[in-house]
Amino acid sequence: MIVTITPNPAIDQFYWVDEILSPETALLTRANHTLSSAGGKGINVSMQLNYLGMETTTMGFIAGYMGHAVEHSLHERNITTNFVWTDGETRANVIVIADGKEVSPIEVNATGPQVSDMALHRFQKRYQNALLRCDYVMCGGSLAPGLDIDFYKRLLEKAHQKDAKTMLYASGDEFNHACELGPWMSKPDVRERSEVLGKPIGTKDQAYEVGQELLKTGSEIVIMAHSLTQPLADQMVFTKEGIWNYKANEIETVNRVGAGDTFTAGMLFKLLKGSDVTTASRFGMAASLASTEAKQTTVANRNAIEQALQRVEEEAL
Amino acid sequence: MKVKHIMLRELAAIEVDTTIEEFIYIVRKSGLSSLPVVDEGDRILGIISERDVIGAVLPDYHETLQGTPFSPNPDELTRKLAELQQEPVQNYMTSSVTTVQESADDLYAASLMFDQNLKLLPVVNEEGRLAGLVRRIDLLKLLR
Repeated sequence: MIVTITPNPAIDQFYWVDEILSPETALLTRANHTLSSAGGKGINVSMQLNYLGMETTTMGFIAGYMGHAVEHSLHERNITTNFVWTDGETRANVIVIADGKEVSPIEVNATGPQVSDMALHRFQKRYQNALLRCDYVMCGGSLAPGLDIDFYKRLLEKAHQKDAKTMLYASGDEFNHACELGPWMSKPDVRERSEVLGKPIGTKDQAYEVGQELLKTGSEIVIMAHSLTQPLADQMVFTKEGIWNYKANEIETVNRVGAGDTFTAGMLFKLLKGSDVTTASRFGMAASLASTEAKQTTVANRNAIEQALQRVEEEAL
Repeated sequence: MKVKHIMLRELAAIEVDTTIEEFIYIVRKSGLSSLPVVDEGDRILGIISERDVIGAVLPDYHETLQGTPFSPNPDELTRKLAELQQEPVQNYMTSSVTTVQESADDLYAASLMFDQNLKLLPVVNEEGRLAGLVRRIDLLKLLR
């Protein structure tokens, strides 16, 4: 069983608009389409795996009205939740996507609720119990206020003690600290800060160099996104056996939020079904492409992923 | 239909050493009226409800309410609740818990809840670990 951990879940609120009007032109912009969904890296991975028929349990901290909305959204999809309540309000992230500018949406993420000592203590107990019933732990996304940068590191340590395989998909120091433990799979999130382990990763060559550094930590699979300003970022996959770059072609971007999450979920799904890394990576890239071309952040239709496979390009490096 | 198709996939549970204060916090936040009490492997040891805590604060509350207009002394209630707050739920939980397998028929779960007047029925998997909860409203989903 897979446990996904999203320390700082969200309700992602998407607004598609004809254009973003300046205040000089109009004080109100009306959306032509809206969508709300539970979000956050672990949650998105759980939702995608659920669509592919793989059960997960998702954990994290929730609060307030939005916390109930997150739980409800997941329960409606028959996803098992094991959240811990804290004071405050789960964050709402707002994404405004203008016609013709789908590649560069306006994205504003809230901070999230303060995690209390009591909630953290409860989480540790629930996590310890969860480790007795899972084989894989996936940690993803930003940390909620109140959690220190070694939060992920401690989760990985405990998972490794129970022989669970771990995946780390985060950014900043929380990633840098935890990746020292050599998670089975690691994927830095580089959307905010184009550096990992203190090294820049803006270009393909820089991503190549840092990916190899991350392999040295003991990770069996490292995934590096690069060329982030493209309609869909390339994904570079590193193992001891080889390095490959995955690129999607002929992309019609509708909503690129969560594309890295569907890549991770798609790849994980295939790996757990026994596929090799390249087959899993191609499927991950196809899932990512299919999600970019749909309004939802995750892909309910498996056929859409299978069809997108034809537009995935693999290059051995 | 099987229980696993109608249950709430919610692993909200507490441990025997969870305090009453923490229990009250969780039910207040989550909206659940009772919680399963589990061991370290998520196997069910008991269940505790709001009613159990109210009953502990005012042991004769329910009985008194049946016969006479009843107005508890708020100071007394607050004092008793404060005394209780740091106690473990183990002291107030019901140890004999009715559970149902996730592979059981939904009608069987319904009959258990109806016969025993249960508001919440914990669901366990093949290993006997908590897998979800059935509330009365989950049974009514069948009517959709």
